[in-house]
Order: sequence, then structure tokens, then C-alpha cells
Amino acid sequence: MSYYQIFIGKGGVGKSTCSSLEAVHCITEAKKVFLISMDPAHNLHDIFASSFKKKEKKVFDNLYVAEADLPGKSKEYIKGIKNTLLNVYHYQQSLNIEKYFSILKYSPGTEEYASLLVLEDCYEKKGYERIVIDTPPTALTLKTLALPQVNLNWINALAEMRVQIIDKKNTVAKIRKDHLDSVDNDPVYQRLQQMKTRYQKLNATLSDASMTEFVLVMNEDELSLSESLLIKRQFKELGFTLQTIVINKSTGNEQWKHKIASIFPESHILSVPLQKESIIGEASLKQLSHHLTVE
Amino acid sequence: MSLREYLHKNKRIKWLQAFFYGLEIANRRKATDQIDYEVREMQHMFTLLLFGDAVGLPSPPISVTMELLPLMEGDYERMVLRATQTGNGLSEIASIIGEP
Repeated sequence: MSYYQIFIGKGGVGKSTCSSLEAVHCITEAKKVFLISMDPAHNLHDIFASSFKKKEKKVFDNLYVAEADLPGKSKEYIKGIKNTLLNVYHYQQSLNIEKYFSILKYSPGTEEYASLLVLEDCYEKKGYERIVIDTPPTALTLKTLALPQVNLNWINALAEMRVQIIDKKNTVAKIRKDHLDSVDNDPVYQRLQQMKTRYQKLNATLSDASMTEFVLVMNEDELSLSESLLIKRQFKELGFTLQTIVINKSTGNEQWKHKIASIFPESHILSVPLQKESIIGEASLKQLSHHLTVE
Repeated sequence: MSLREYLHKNKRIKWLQAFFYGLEIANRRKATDQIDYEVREMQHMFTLLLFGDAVGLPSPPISVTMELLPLMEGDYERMVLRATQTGNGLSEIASIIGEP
């Protein structure tokens, strides 16, 4: 079974660099490592000085890298649904529903759902011992990670309402001596149950610390610290744990180290020292990857 | 009793039976009309909850609504019809509740 590491943090703190360092660090321990960027503004091609697409490409040793195509995924999703709907609503012109569907691409939530689909794809990937995921900046990542739970809340409420409707229908049917209905015959209820199983599974994998490790990347500055606190709060609400903190571009300042350690007492604290030059290319990544060793 | 007499009597019994059966059905319907109306309204509410964004109401995440939409064909149509055909909701309720 694969072990997943999800790198999160404020924009610009060095999530892509740290996730690349971690992936390179893992190639000695794991048989096959997969590094994927979910950030719509990809950086991995610069870091590895190569070009990547949504399909993984071997860069060196046993490391495979891909840059997810988020806008493409959202388009693909909308197109798939639209095609199903056009088949179902063959008379849709009379209700003008098609127009309603075509504006769905501007709907809020499409981006995080596309991002969740990419994450789900990662969890379904087989053959990799280690999967390192570089995420987009905080706002989108938190929304993506919260989506299974938000959806579950809706699904549970809708399913409950469906049960109430069928119960009431049956009350009437019993008195009128009509035939009784059951949730097993209700396609909407059945689909809600399928969705529930899917999101519960995804949420369980995300919350399982033995399968998923969340790595928070931050810098020694107040802005990144305050955003990290926000992430910590949100994670607590979602029931996720931050196992590891990486202080990127660290100056070795002990005061900061203590401050961060006191805020995140349950996490491992690692630091990647500030480099004079950008961390680009295989040699540079291999040279610095030991900083991500948990002692 | 002759056969003719018997049939005549039986016909009456049948007629009486049908009469009381009709009475029973009517009463059963009348007794459940309000609940039936409530069920239909609940179904409209369910559709409105899912696709409320069509009229500006907050709705569930698109990933939930999009997956259910193909199954809600009939419900959506009923909701649209209900929205266009309802003149006065209050009078409609009064006509159901007010019946003796």
C-alpha cells in the first residue's frame, strides 16, 4: 500500500521545493516514488529543469513526476456530466435546461472538486510505494480537503429527507391501501448512498495517519506563521493531524525554532537552511534532500 | 326462495357493497389528502434544496447536485410546473384544510 505525503502551506513558502526534496529523499528508501503537483501554477518543471504533463514521467532513479492539469480536469468533468444530461433530457429545449448546464462551468466549487478528483486519482494510483503531493496555496487546498466532509453533511441531510418523504408516502399508501414504496427502489436515495460510501472512504484515508502524512511548510516570518495557525485550526476542525513541520529557508534562528515547536508540540520539526542559490536540478536536490530526514 | 328472487336480492347486496366501498375509498382519500399534499410539497422542497441556485438560493456543492441531476428529471419538471402553475399557495392550503 502506498504512503502519501501532502505538502501544504502559504503561497511562496517553498512547498514545491520541499516536496521535491522529500521525493528525492525517498528514492533511497522506497522502490518507486511519485511526485505530483496539484498547483495550477506549476513549479516542478523549473525545479527539475524538465517538462512535465499530467502523465507521470521518470526523471531520475525511481522518481516519477507529473503536473496535474486542473483546468483540464474540470473541463473533462463538466463535459462528462453535460453529455449524460443531454442524453437524459432529450426534450430539454422546452425547459431551457441546457442553458443552465452550460453556465455550470462558472460555478464556484468546480475548481476544488477538480482538485479533489486529482487527489482521488492519486489515492487510486497503484505501484508506487511513496506518493508526494504538492498542493496549491492554502485557500484552495483547505477547501479541497474539507469538500468530502461538506459533501457528506449534505448527503446525509438529503438522504434523511428522502427517507422522510418515503415514510410519509407510505403512511398515505397504507391508509389508501396502495402499494408501499421503499428506499431500495428510490434511485436518488441509492445514488446518495453510493456518494456517501465514496466520500467516507476518501475522508477515512485522509484522516488515517498511517496512510496520509500532512507536512506543513513555513518560513521564519509572521505572515507564514499566522497562516500556519489558520491551517492548524482548520485541520483540528477537519480531524486531520499535522505530523511534520518544515521550516524552509531557515536561518537557524533558535528563537523561531522554539516558537514553532511550542505552537506545534505534536509535530516533527525539520528545517531546510536558506540557500544562496535556487534549488534547481538533480545534483542540488540530492545534496539537500538529507534535511528532510526525521530524527 | 326462487332463483329470480335470490338474484334480485344479490344485486342489491352488490350495489350496497359497492356503495359502502366507494364511501370508504372517499373517506380514506379525504383523511390522507393533507398528508399527500405535504408529501408533494416535501418533494418540491427536496428539488428546490438541490437546485435552488437556479432561483438564487444557496445550494449544495456542485459535485453533489451534478451527480443527482440526471436522476431528478421528473422532480425538476414537477418543480418547474408547480412554480408556474401555482397562483396562491395560501388559498391552495386553505382549500385542502378547509374541507369538511
